[in-house]
Amino acid sequence: LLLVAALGLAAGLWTATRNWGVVPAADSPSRSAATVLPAPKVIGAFHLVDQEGRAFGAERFRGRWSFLFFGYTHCPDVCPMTMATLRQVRDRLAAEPDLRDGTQFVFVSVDPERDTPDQLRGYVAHYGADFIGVTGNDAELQRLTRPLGALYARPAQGPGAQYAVDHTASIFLFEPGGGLHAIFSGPHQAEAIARAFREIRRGAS
Amino acid sequence: LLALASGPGPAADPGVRVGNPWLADAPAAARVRAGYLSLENVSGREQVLVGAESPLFARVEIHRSEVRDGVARMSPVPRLALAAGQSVVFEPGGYHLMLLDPREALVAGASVPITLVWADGQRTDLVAQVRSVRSGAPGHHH
Repeated sequence: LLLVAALGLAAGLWTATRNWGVVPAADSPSRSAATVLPAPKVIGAFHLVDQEGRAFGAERFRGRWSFLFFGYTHCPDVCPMTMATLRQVRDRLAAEPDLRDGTQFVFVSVDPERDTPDQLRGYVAHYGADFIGVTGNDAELQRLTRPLGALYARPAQGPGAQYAVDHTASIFLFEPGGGLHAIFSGPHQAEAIARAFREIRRGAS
Repeated sequence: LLALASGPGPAADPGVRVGNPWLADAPAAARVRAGYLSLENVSGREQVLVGAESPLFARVEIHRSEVRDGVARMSPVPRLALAAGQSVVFEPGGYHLMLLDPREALVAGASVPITLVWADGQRTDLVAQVRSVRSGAPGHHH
């Protein structure tokens, strides 16, 4: 019933990465947690909703930096761990308001049937006002996952069943022009992510 | 944080040491939570973990997460065999207890009783505390 998602994109993920010609930032003093794209990758239109029921599309990336992570609220292990890591990134930037202000953290649920905006509101509120919970139907989700080379897959399940959702574990960073700027492929360490973000921002300004 | 060997029936102690049981802090809206601990089989023979229970959750299962080709996947572990002398660590991104449908809100600091169920019918009672998730695996945190 719900067999959806970016089927066949496992191969696409590799292809996309190769085609971007991704190389580590040449002037990094140490190996960066971020894979910075040679140029921001423009993402086309997509139509999702946030935890308040407001439209969330590519325009919501504009004018700020955005960390984005795919997951689902019934995910006990990887998702809360990644969310906690992002919260730590935010906290590590607390002393640098030029970096912290205007940075948002976007949790995209790839499990829209269980993750209604109401459910997402309660979930992201735990992490802070700069966290946004977003979801939408599969067609719109894939308008976002496809250009990112991200994928997800839900098993076929009846209503009310407990199921796990496979999802790309990377954290994506968007720049204020709305383009994909970098990918954090993990494992995710808050300190390393904050350091890479700092280098990106200092280099970009 | 010590595991207490108890439970009804004979030979209640399966001879598996439980270390550092904890639950990851998570939003109250999360209907599924993760529990972590370490197990060390000091019984001198194989022990097989087949389940877990908690009075604070409708159901507890054993699961394993892994990230393969950049994709996070989670699968149930119906039986986890520990050879004599073997240790297994349940930690973020790997083995974990998956606790479903909490009966009450569990904030950081809360205590959660959990019982591990072994294939031979023995049971291990422990109490896990709800703690903030550290970045990455606890053992690799700096």
